[in-house]
Amino acid sequence: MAIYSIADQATPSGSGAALWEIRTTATDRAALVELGMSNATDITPSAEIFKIGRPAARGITPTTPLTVLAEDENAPVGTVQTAKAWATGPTAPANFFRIFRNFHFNAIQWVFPLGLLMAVSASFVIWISTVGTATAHEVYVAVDE
Amino acid sequence: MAIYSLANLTTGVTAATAALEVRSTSTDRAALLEFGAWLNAATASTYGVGRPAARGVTPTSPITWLAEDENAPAGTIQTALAWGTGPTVPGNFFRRVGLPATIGAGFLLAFPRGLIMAVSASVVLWNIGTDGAVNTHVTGDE
Repeated sequence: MAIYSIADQATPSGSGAALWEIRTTATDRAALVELGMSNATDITPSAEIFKIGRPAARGITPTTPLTVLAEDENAPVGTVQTAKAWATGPTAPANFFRIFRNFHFNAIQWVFPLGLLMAVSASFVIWISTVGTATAHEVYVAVDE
Repeated sequence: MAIYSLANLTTGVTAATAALEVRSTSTDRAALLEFGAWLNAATASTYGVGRPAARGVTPTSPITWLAEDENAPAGTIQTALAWGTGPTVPGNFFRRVGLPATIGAGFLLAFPRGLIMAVSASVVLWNIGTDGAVNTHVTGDE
């Protein structure tokens, strides 16, 4: 097991949609240990509701997914990927592990010291249930794989 | 192994350039444990932390980080704010952070198991956009 992380910039497509998905492959489980979000542009006038959870169905055919980077250069190459666009997007989680009302320039860092576990071929999503001004969000995730 | 750290006020703010580089020598590896930065100017900014595709060449007046235990041997890891040839953009970033145009806005990023640098390697704080100068610090285990 080793720590891997990756960052990206993602813009909400609207309310009731995934902003970003963290995906395991068919071969490797992973534990999500940290997730962060910030934005350099004011998202007023309307606040945004920002959540994380396991989608009812994960996204299909992600567009140009990114593979996590090893924080230890001697670790094997990671397999977990992230995506912000899909042919068919993830569907809404039934319930959520965390929820946050994003307003103005708020930022969030969620830490899961024991890991939020993902099975093989599974995913977590950042879900935007109510979108504010659809501006770019800086997001990152750290996983133990 | 001992803990070292160093603070800098960055000067480079141009988009798509490094604001700060943390550099290992040819003899010592290191593990970065913490990265912090707070705006020194009211400029909306977006930063990334990553391994440059190529590290900077001929750093200008690099500074060696400081031992947090006075009994520890002198550190070897250095930081640089300017170079003859600057570092080149990382392929992807470990972290990205956006900050509003407010002096004092900032971030503190922790790497509990260490962001490992091999010998003769580096990690950069990258100006993704035209950014403000930041009061920054890095902490590591060497």
